[in-house]
Amino acid sequence: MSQPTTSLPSAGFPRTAALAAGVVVLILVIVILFQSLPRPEPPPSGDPRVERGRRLFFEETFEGNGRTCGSCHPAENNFTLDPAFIATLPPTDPLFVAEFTPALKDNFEKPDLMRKFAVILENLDGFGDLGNQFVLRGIPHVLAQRISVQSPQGPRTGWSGDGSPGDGSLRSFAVGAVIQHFTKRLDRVPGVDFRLPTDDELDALEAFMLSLGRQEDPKLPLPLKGEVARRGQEIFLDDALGKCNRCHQNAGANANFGGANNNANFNTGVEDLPDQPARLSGAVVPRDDGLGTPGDGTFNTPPLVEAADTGPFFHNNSIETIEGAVAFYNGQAFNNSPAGRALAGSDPNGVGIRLDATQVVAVAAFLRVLNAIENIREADALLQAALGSRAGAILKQALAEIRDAARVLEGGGLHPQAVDDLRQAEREAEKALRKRPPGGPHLGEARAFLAKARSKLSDP
Amino acid sequence: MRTMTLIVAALAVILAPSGAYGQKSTEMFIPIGKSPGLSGKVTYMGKIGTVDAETKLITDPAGDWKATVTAKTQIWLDRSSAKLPNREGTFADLVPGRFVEVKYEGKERKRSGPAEWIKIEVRS
Repeated sequence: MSQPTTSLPSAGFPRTAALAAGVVVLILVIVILFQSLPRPEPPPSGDPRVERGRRLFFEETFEGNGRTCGSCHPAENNFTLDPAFIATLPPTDPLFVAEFTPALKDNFEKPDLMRKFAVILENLDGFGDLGNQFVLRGIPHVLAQRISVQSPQGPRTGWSGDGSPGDGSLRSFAVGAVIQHFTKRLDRVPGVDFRLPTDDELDALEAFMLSLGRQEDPKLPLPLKGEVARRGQEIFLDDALGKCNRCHQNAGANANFGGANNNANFNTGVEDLPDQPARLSGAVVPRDDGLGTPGDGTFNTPPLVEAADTGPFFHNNSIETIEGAVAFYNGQAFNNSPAGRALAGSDPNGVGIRLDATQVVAVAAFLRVLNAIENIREADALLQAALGSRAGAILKQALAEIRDAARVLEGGGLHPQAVDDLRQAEREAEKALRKRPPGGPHLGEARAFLAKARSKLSDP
Repeated sequence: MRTMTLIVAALAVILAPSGAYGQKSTEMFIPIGKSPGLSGKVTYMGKIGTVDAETKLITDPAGDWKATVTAKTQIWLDRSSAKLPNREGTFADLVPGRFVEVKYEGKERKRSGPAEWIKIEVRS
């Protein structure tokens, strides 16, 4: 006699329901645990405006759709987004608000492209034709702003230098961000879809952003110990070969044309790159015309010290690796661009930038080591500051910096012994994080390993 | 050395960056008097006194300021006090008696000249 192959509903349903309820409870527990874990944060500051700005940056939704500044600029990911980080976020994260809010379903974001390429939608040329008039841009990190946005014409914020409404200052940036990215509906009515930041809040947010990361550029050349990175630095600084230092003096965001050094915009031809990833997906990706309306095709120069761990690269995240980003300057898109032609025009042989593969890798190696040195500096500062009620969050941020340093070196096959020291520092920092309260002697051990790693990258 | 200096100078001119801009697109959603760093500092707010359609000139009732509307001037209808979405406007929306905020071209506070943008208060 054959047995029935399916369970009777009366017998199977309770088991299924119990299983489903168990899964729901488990998910809820995971979500609650995830939310209660300390979120990584930069080191504390004595300035009360900075502390207030920190809370606003990571916690204030401005009565909008649930996003905060930290949604797109998470501290644990160098204040930027990449597809790998996005993949770790729960589906309820406010970053994905367009996926679960009917009023934002169309023309607020391109969710598929956001997940694949970490690009967000912006209506920089106006809100009159939302379906066709938009650009898709990567998220610029907000590190080292104090030394990266000043120009004689005023501050240059965002990828095209015109990211802020009002007076265009860094202080005003949050107003535009709230309107563009925090709204509950596409009507964007203040007091209904969001509230605008107050003057005090703008002051605090500006103070916080200015406190992040480096407060000065390195003074190149550094006494680097690795041959390849050292050669990369020579090429970087050689105005007849790499020519990188012309627009990225001391690997920062300021151009060097003999006079005052300031942040500047250039049309380097990134928009003319063939086979851009987002366009390969078949999606409609309008051309980004850069600064102004209509745009002049120029984009803002970002600092390079933080480049190696903040990819993908360029305003549209069109290149995934730091080696690819350096190689871009060898290609036709750059050398046929206004900036590339101008560079060639200043060359006695009419050459723009022409590097061989070994030279491309050397420049990238230099940028990787430079980034790791900055990671170590920041991690050390964080370990020193990991005290009090926020020690756990600060330690997590230090761990992120240590891991970044190891990752950018490993990614280029650079300094394996320094990487080993960084892994030791990571283990010690993890032990310090597990202690209750977090901290203790492991902090000193972690700092000692960081110093060892640092000593292998360059002389003091 | 002189040649190099000339080359660098030429490069600087060729690559000379455009002027810094405040972002215009989100500006239209900012209510009158709330534009950060501009309202109360470089803009004028008040009622329109006269409108000259021929010269595209608007003035305030006391003659303290006047502004020329050009092809580049952006005109927005600020309906935020009525909890309605702001919209783009036209020269025809500039009517005597309406409350406006005027931002002139450039960074300085002026009393006359081409307007970069004008926000018009619309209460219903």
